[in-house]
This record gives sequence, structure tokens and C-alpha cells, in this order.
Amino acid sequence: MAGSEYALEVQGLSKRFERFELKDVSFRIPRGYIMGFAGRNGAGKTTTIKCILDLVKGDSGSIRIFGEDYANNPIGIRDRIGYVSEDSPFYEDMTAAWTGRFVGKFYSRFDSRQFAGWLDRFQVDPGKKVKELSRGMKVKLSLALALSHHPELLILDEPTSGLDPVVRSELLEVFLELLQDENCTIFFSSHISSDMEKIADYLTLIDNGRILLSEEKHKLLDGWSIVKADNRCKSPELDALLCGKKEGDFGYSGIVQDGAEFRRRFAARFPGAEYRTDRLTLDELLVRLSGSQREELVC
Amino acid sequence: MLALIAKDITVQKRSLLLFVLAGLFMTFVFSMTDEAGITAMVMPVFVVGYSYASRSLYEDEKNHALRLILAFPLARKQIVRAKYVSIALVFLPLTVGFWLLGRPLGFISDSWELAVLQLSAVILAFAIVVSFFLPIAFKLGMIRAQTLQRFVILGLFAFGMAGGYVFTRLGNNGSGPPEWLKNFSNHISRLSPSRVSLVLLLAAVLIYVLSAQLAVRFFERRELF
Repeated sequence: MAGSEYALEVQGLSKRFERFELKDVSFRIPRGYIMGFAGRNGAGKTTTIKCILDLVKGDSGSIRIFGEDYANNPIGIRDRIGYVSEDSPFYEDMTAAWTGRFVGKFYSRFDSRQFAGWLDRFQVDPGKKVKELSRGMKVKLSLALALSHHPELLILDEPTSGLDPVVRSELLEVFLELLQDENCTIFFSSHISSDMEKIADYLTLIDNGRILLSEEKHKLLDGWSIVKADNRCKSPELDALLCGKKEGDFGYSGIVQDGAEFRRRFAARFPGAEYRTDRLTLDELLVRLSGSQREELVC
Repeated sequence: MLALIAKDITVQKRSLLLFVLAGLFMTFVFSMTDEAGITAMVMPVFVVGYSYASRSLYEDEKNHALRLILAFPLARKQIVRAKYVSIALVFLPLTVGFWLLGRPLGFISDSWELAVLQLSAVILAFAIVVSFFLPIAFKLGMIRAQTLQRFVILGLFAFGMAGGYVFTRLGNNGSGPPEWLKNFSNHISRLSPSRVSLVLLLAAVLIYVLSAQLAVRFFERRELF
């Protein structure tokens, strides 16, 4: 099973809390690719990641990593995973160098020289205490630790949130380098959709604990489009094709997956009338799909 | 596991030194009173040992450092066992140190056998307190468990004091303690202090090990948000 073509497979994962629920979360990442995991704050991204890392136990569903059932070999699998958390969980009074020595004792493939090299590249002072590092530096330390044990799957939970654009761009470059130089798959959660658009090969959108879409990025963004039309050209059969519909005083807009069908129905219902089509951004897709679920519109 | 034990001690190096200094200060204060007795050893040892144990758990939860450890290729039972071993490794030399200090200062019995019995009793008492404290902390997390633990410790003290009060009253009334207790204490008094010390130490080990097993169960089921 070690030869599975998927680095991570989540199937039917559900977890119920008092005020929130993960409902039948399913997606999978082929080896060697970056998957962006996007959603609003509180959509269920971190909870899903915590289930993947076994910090939280799912009520049902399965998680397979490198083709292996996670529950059967959690220790062996964790040795092959790098995890970067949004809140940099370190001992604040200890130095970056001590943190590296400490973490290195637990991973079979930890490379101390490489760790020193990453710190140097990221300009993190190894002698500085963690509490003296800025948020960006802590993320870099976290990444240096995760990369130094040669992970085959790198799980990043909102690593770029709260960072300035220069540091964010620097980190995104590192992720791209990793895919070229190492046998690494990256699962990358964020609510910053521009980061996803830059580097992700696959996108999974989550909202209110449900997966809205999980697809190759180019198929998603090329397949969906945004249509804008006059309010005089409204009809229930067009509405049935629209997701996240918004109405103004003069016109309405929505996103459609099957643009050709929309065009056919529109021309048949309103001959001679016109509508506008724009290319969809991930931001817009996320906002519209999240909105459509909130308003319980048919998609 | 060794790396986790070393981490516990390294992370708390400075605070541990401060706790020990506070303990020595307490010993010094007690040495100025005439009737301090074994209390002059028990109090500092409990304060230092308990502070180390709770601080050690707190350091893991502060800034979610426990999440870092849980992402390591480690079984949760190793994390729990390392904590128990680290607390024992700090507490035992500390207790023996204060015990050795207490002898020339007159806090401890002059008889070696009785002095060892006193040492064993202190170790058992600490093992009981920590054995309540650690499973709760591993179940709820140190920060949430703190309030509950205060009640547990107060409860243990209240239970001890109430027991003492009841037996004093029974003694004063002339009827004395119940028959089974008389028989039990007669039986104990016939045993040599060394044998009682051994029983106390074995009881301490047994309680501590059982507590560790309970803590492992709790921690394996715990969800970390």
C-alpha cells in the first residue's frame, strides 16, 4: 500500500461538536501536488486538519495517508508528516536552536545541518528565544523544523495568515521549490485565496463543515464563470443554473458551472438579449458558493 | 522518552531553582520555631514538588506546545509516562536532600529507622497528592484542571484533618478508636519501622503507577483543540 498514488485520502469524515459539525468531509491529494484548503474563518479547516493529525478523533469516516490507514500506524505515518500550525506551538523561553535539537530527537530523518541551513536562509537567529521572534519568524522556524525531517506530506494550517506580503511571497516560493526538489505533497489551508491561486494544483473549498468542491484548480476556475444580466432577463429556469445569486436594482449576477447550458437557455428564453460573462476568481467562487449554501439556494 | 524528560527539566531550569530557593527559605523560617518537626521538611518538599509538577504541565499547554509534541511520531502513553518519570526524578532527590538537611537541624528523628520511616511517609503522601492531580490534568488540560485540583487538594487536607479530629474525639470520650483500628495500629506497631517504611514505599510506587495508567487512558481519549 506504500505505493498509493495519493498522499492523503479523507473519506466521509464527520465530527459533531455542540455548535459545529464536520459533515461527510471527503477529498484526496495525489502525491507530489499542492492542495489548497480554502474556507472562511470557522468553516472547519483547522478541525479537519486536527482530525488528520489525530489531535481530534472523528466520529466516523477514514483517513488514509500514503495508502495506509492512519489508525493502524500513527507513529510511522507521523514520522513522514511535517506540520506547521497557525499558532507556532513552541516553548517560548527556549531558543530556536534548542527547539531544533529537541524536535530533531523525535524524527528518524531529521537533518540538523539542513535545519541550520533553513534558519540561515530564513534569517532566523538560532540564539534568539522563541518569545523574541516576530510572528513571521515563528512561522519560518516552524517551517524550518517541518522541512528538516524531509516530510513526504507537509500539512500547513494557515501559515501565511497575519504575515506581510513579502514574507508570504517568500514562503510560497519555498513551497514551490519543495515540489521541485523533494518528494513532497503539500496540504495548505488558508483563507487568503490569492495564495491558493498562486501555488495550488488542487483546491478544496469548505464552508460550515461541508466540502463545497474539491477539484483541480484550473478545472475549477476555468469551468465556473460569473454571469451578469439585466433584471428583465430573469427566469426560474436560469436561476436553477445559478449559484450565489445576487440581485441589485438593475441587474443580477451569479456563478454557473455549465456556461454552455446557461447560454442555450438564456438565448431560448430571451432571444436577442445579452448578458456578460467574467472569469471567476477563487475569492468570488468562495464567496458565492459559501453564500449559496447559507441561503440554501440550489446549486 | 528521555528527550521529553530532559525537556521538562531544561524548560523549567530557572523556575526549579527558584522553587528550591523558596523551599530552603521555608526550611530556614521553620528552623527558627521550636516545634516545627517534620513539617519543616514536608512543607518545602510539597511546595517545590507540586510547583514543579504543575509548572511542567503548564509549560506544555502554554502556547499550545503540547500540539507540537503530539505531532511527533510518539505514542501518547510515552508522553504521559515521561511526565510521571520527570516528576519522580525531581521529587525524589529533592526530598532526600531536604531530609538530609533536616537531620542536623533536628526536624527528623535521631533514630535512622524512624527517620527513614518519616521519609517514606512523605514520599507516600506526595505520591497520593500527585496521583490525584496528574490524571485530572491529563484529562482536562492543566489550565482547566487547576480549579478542580484545588478542591481535590483541599478535600484531601480536610479529609485528613477530619479524620484526626474524629480520632481525637474518640480518644477523649474514653471509648477510643474502633476495635478494627486498634487491632490495625497494634499490628503496625509490632512491625519494625524498616518494614513499615518498605510497605509505605511500595504503596507509593503502586499508587503512582496506577495513577499513570489512568492518566494514559484519559490522555489517549483527550481531544486537543
